[in-house]
Amino acid sequence: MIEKMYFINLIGYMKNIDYVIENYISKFNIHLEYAISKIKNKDVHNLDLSNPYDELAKKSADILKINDTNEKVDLIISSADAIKIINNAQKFNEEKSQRLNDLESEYKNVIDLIQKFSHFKEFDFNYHLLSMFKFVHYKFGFMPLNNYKQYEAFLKNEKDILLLESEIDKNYMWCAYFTYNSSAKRVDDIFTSFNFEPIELPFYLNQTKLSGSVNEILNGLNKKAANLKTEITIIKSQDEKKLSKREIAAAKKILRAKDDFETRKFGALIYKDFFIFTGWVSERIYKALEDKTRNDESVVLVREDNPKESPPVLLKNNSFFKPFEFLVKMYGIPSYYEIDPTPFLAITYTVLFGLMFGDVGQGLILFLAGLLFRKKGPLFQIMSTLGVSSMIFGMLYGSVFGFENLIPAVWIKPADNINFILFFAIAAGIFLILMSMIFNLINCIKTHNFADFLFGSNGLSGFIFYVCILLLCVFIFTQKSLVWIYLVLAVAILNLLLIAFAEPLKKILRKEKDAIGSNIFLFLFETIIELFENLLSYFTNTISFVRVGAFALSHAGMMSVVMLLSKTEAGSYNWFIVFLGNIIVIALEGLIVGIQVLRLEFYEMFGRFFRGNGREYIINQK
Amino acid sequence: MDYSAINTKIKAMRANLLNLDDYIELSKSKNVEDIANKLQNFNAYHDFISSLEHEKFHRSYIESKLMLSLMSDFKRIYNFVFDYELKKYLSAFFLRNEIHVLKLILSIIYDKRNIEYELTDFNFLIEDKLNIDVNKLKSSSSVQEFINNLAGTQFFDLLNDTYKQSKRLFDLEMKLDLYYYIHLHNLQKKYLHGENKIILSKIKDTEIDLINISWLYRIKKYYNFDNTTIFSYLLPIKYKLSENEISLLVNANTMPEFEKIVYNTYYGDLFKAEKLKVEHVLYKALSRIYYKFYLQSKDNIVSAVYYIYLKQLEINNITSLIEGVRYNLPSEKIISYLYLKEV
Repeated sequence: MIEKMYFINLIGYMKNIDYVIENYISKFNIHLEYAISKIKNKDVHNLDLSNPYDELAKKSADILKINDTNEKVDLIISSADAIKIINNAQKFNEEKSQRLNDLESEYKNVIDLIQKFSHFKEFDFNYHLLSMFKFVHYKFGFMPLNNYKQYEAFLKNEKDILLLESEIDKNYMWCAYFTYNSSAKRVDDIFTSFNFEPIELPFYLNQTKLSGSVNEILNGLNKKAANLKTEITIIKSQDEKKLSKREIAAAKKILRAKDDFETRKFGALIYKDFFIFTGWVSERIYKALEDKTRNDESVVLVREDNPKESPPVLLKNNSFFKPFEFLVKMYGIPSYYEIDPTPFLAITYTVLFGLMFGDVGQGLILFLAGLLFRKKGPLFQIMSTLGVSSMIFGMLYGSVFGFENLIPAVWIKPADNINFILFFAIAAGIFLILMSMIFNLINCIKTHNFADFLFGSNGLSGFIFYVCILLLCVFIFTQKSLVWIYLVLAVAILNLLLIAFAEPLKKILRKEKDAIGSNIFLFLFETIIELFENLLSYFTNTISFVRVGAFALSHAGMMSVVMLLSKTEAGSYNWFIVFLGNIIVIALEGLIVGIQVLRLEFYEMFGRFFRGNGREYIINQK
Repeated sequence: MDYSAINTKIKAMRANLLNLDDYIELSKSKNVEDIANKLQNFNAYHDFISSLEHEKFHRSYIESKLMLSLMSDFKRIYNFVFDYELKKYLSAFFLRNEIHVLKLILSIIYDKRNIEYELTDFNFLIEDKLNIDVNKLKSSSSVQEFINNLAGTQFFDLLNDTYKQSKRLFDLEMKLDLYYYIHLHNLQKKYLHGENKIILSKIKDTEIDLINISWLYRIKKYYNFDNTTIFSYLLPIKYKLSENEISLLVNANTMPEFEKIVYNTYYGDLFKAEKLKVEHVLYKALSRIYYKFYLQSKDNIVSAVYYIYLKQLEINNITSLIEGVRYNLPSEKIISYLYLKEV
């Protein structure tokens, strides 16, 4: 069933908008529409959408992330309080991470310095004295060994260069050179040409003087680094502040407030001081809203009785049919004015499945499995229904886990009545096709589509044609007099012509011009092809139902193979093979039959009457 | 170690070196192809030249084949030496070949010449003890890529540090040469002993002194470098040159000034006699010192090293000879450009 829908407007003063969103929009199930596109009025504007809670929501989410809180908190806190609480909690965290950052960068700094100084361990003069040099130019650094050899060969006795070597590794000499300020440029040039890489060393580290020999400085720095390291680990290991209930409540409140605010995008500003929300509600919700707004001055509820647009579709079915909505939605959402095909699908699907897969034992397993996993989704709920159907038909066929002789067949054994079961399947198919056509006629009337009602291939002429052909078959088999046969044949041909020229006839009915189109040959060509296709599809669609009988047979066949394999020479059963065979048949055949029935539903039945061009009812879309 | 066997072998190999008559005969050739045909008649070159297809009788191909002859001679000697340390010392020859290849590829990259063509000429070097992947280097499209392709070899740091400071081909080549001579010097200190060490040190240190002067000469004459940076282009090894003399040469501001300082050094007389033609001085001085020790030598490796020197000289001579023939110079003129033994 498709729920009746009302198009409503909620209007109120801007100052009350937050209150209305919190207490109406997010509390009631409303399919919101963008008000700005629904209301034709010059004085309608978008609401200001800059969400004031964005920043706070991020903080709240961070805070909640720290504490794994799934506990329910039902403290009521005002927005203003919540903002204050969150800001405080956040500040605490920020200060801590700031402090940690500072310490870590200082630590890195110190390690870097240790790294640099460590190459000059050999220097045992008081390093800090260098800062007092006024007339001496010097640089610390390193150069490739080959270049150092060049220095040694040519410049060792140069009077204005003093080079102190510190450390030699595989490729480099770490050293410092000193010279007079007056020769600085020349000496710098020489060492640059020797690929000397200078290293800058400071005299102070955060206002602490670096003095003593390089070794002493290194000792001091190492101590400092160790201290910093312990301080960092202490801060890191400190527990995150445990959140109080109040803080959790505040964070949740903020997150909710942010979500609520998002709803504003559906609203609009009208006549400067008023907000307006528009949307669809079901009858039940409408009544509830009406009751609540009657005594509330902050909001006015207005119902529009003749909305221009077709309403969104909310399917309403009882708990037996409900899971089958899932299958219907796979095909499409019915339009608001159509019949909801869910009950039809639910019944036919269940029966057809049972017909094709009748086995008491296997049905029981499907039923139990479906029951076990029913929380996992509608597919499993459908499965348990199908299981019941399978069990019922199992009784009718007298089949339990492939043992055909355990219980008597209440109805028939398919394997022993092949012709009957196949004809029965076709008869069921004919019945279902006729039902589908009748549904189409009803849908056409509901949507005032009289052209399709009269001339469509699933309309009245199609229906009559199909019935005539059936009658013809019956007459021929029963050898009725030729008069009857010719009469029925004439009616059939007349209706076939109506179907063939349905398009121009519909156009004439709608009083459109140019019914045939510009090219008469092209038109005829198309018409003949379509006619042929139509004829063929009546035939194939009917024959298609043979599969229902075929699967009933194949089920018996497959199980007989399992039985054959499991039978030992002594005449007893190998129970492992029986078990395995049943599992395979349930999984394989269950799946195939499920799909085949769905194909029949969608292709042979839905194709005839169900358009599926509705739009779904979505509650409070964000 | 007993050197009598190797010295006998060297004596036999020396018989294959070209003499003056051979050079005169070659210098009378009409074109490069003619030279190639004549070279085929010499034992030392027969195997290498005759394998060349006729259309490839081109100068660069022939030169690469000459190098191959040198390589082959060296390997014959190298394989005949059983002393591990001596082998280590001799292996510097491989380094020189590697550097030769690197310099060739570098100059090709700088000149943007067709790499494929030129490199087929020294493919023969690849088969021997090369640490570098020539195919990879060949494919380098820029100097930086070339250097990156050397990652993992001893040349990478060397060239990378240099290229950061200067993009000149000259600097890169100088760094490679410096590396070779310093390496050779280290090998000499580490692996040579006794008479070998005394004699070869004298020869190689003389060579280094002269190379320093010739590089200084080149820098002063053709490049206008800041005096303070010149030290970094010199070999950090001194033999008969003093620190002061080098410092004076470095700081000389004009060529006459430079000349005067050179004439006052240990090698002054040689330079005076050759009027400062540095290549000739190098050749004369080395030939003289090699020959002196060769005559005295009995139980040492000098005759082998001397043979390699002579062979190298011969290849240089044939190269100049080919150049002369290409320019259609008269025979006497060509002979005058060659470095021929004065004994």
